[in-house]
Amino acid sequence: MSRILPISQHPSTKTRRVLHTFDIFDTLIARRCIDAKEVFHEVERRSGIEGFALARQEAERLVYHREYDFTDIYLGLTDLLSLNDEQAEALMHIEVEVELENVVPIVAMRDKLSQESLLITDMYLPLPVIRELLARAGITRDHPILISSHGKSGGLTWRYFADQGIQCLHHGDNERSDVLNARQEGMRARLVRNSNLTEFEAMLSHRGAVNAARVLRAARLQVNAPDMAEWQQRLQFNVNLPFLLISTLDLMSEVREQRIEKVLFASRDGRHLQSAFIALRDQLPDLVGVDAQYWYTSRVARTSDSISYEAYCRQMLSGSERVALVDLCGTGASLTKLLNNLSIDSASVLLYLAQKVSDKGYSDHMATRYGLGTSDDLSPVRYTFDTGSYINNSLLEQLNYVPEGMVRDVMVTPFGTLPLRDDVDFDGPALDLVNRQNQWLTGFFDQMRSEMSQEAMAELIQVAPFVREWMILHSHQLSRELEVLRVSLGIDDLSNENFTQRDLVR
Amino acid sequence: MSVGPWALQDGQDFSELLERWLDGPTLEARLRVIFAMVGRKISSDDASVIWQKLLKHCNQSIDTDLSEQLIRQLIMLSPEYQIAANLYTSMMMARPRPPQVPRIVFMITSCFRYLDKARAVKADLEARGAHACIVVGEPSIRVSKEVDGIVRLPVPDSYEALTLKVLEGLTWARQTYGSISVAKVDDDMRFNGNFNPERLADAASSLQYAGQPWGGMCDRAWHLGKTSTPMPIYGRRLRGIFAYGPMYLMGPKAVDHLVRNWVMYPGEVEGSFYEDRAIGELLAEGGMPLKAYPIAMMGGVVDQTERFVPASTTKEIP
Repeated sequence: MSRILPISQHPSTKTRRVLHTFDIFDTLIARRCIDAKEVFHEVERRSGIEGFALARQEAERLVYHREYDFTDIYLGLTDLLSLNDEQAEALMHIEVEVELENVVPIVAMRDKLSQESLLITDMYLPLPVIRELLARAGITRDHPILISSHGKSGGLTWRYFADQGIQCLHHGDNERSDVLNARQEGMRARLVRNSNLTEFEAMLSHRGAVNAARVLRAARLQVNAPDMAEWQQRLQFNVNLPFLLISTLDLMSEVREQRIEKVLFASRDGRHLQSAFIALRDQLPDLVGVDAQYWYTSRVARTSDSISYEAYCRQMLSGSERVALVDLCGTGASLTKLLNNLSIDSASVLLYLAQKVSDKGYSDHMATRYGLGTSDDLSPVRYTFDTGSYINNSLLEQLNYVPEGMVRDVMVTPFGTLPLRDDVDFDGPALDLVNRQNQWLTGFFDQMRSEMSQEAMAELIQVAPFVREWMILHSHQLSRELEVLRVSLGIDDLSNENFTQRDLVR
Repeated sequence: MSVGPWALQDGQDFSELLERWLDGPTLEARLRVIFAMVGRKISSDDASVIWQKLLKHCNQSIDTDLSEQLIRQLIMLSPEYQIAANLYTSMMMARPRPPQVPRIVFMITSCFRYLDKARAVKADLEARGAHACIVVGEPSIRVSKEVDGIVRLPVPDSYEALTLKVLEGLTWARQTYGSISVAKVDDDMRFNGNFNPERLADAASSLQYAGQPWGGMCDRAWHLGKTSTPMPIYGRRLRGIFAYGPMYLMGPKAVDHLVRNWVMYPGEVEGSFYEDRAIGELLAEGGMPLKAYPIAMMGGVVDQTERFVPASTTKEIP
């Protein structure tokens, strides 16, 4: 005879309960020093106990086969290093201290937490320490935390949830523990890779610029650009960011050498170059007083022969003996035209382009367009990259688009300067893409400014030649992503360029 | 040591097999050692996994030339994989750079037999302010090397290997100087007052692939009498115009494209013993068609004398 069940337990009316769960370490929070072994080395350094780092790893290895916690590890360590209780406790405190100093939030994941999220970890640290780490990462809600050394890796945790009729929607960084084992038991699991080094960060680390890699990673983890597609992230992390950093370092070197007092960054394309410059400037004592200003400009404005625009430029160029005009890409033709119109000797101004167009035919064409002769007659321009060896200008511009319209002229009012701009060049999905990357870049350079150190800066300067070479070689591996960018933004970009060309001086 | 998912066969001596693998002498011979390790023939993808493990195992104890050769062969074994792209990047950045890197290198393709001519061309170029190098073939070496001012390449030193010589020479230039323009120059070229290396560097960077347009017709017997081994007539389809061989320019992107394809897919030029045509075809495929720039405008003067090998040293094809 079949059993009659109450309706709440009847299989046909049983509902699935879904829990949003998250791993903690390298999912919600990460270590600045990246690897736990670096924590142990730091403890060794602070405690002065030689051999601590190796012994600490061995002590954990000895207990790994069973459920274990922090105390279990240190019991083993006490034997390995012949420590007394006081020494062991002191070391435990130092290790916790180093962990707390190293914590950095993974903001993109932290922002996904809801009131009801459950945290599941295999970490050996005591619960109060884990809560403190989370609090330092801005996770202050009292989320329930489940701890088990091998619950996820052995599948027990997931099996338990499945047996209780609970399906987890889980986020974690370990492919086996957090994803494969979870899915095996019917959980929905997502692999989180944010804390992994990007290709650029990995290259820096491999080349010995370990502090620089850590700084960039820490800055990246603390910025959230919701809905930024993976292809866009890959291009920003591995193409645009190295491009902006290396160009900025080169520019800084010129600024120092030529004792430049004021740097004017061209509006729109130069926006993020300015951000990078300001983020790095504080690390070089020679450059701390250098003024980095946003300059309302465009090829159209520079070549328009507008009296008000020229007056604005004279105002921007005055007040400092040596000035630099900086733009992202170009030939230098419109900059030369402007200096000619202002009757300024080009020797007194540094013209800098992050990437110069090496197509002589095109440069000649633009020089002729502006009545300057040929490209041989243009003012000398300093540059870091050129289109002959690196990716084309349009793609670099697209990676740096900001949601601002092109400046046509500037009105100097009694209350200040008012740029006269076109509408923003993009709309719809293209505008969304531009907004996302702009938001990410702005946030990143803000974070980088607080994370950067003199040590990291020195490393970046030292590896810059390698980075430049790596960029040229590595861009080939991103050809698919660059093509997506070209298709996403390039079509309207080309239309805008064709439209703008009609407004340039004939 | 396990060799990936396979275990060594019973009775096998790993050290002896490793020694045989390192000794080569060819990629194919090394592959056969790997097959012997696992007891059967496996795919090149699977073999590349074992190759990586073996390389990691012994990389610290072998010399850099052997290491580079093994890395290069690994790239050829699995060119479509991410590891190949990463290894290629490392390989291109591994060699130390000279203190001064020129914008353009004039690469004089020659052979041991005509080294004196090549040296004269090099001296002339250097007197005109150009940075020049001579490349010759020396098949016994593992990797390209500059010795006493001559760049020796691990390819045959014969006429029929000229395509390999140019591609291997570009690879050496890329490894030595980084991203750079290269002008390929024959060892019987002369130069006149039009020659200006800076202007040629600008042109190479701007145009990427420039030279005297050639190739409307194909003399499929051009090479007869010039090769050291008997060769059939040129049997490949004509694919378009290319730069006439005595002198042409390649910008950084062109050099990069050619080197990348050569290192990853050397078979693409099999049978392409007309070097100028081969280069033109590879670049056209890479979206870099020829831009016209006559040799005379570059400041070059071509010697039209054909060089034949002595009849006694060749045999007719039956």
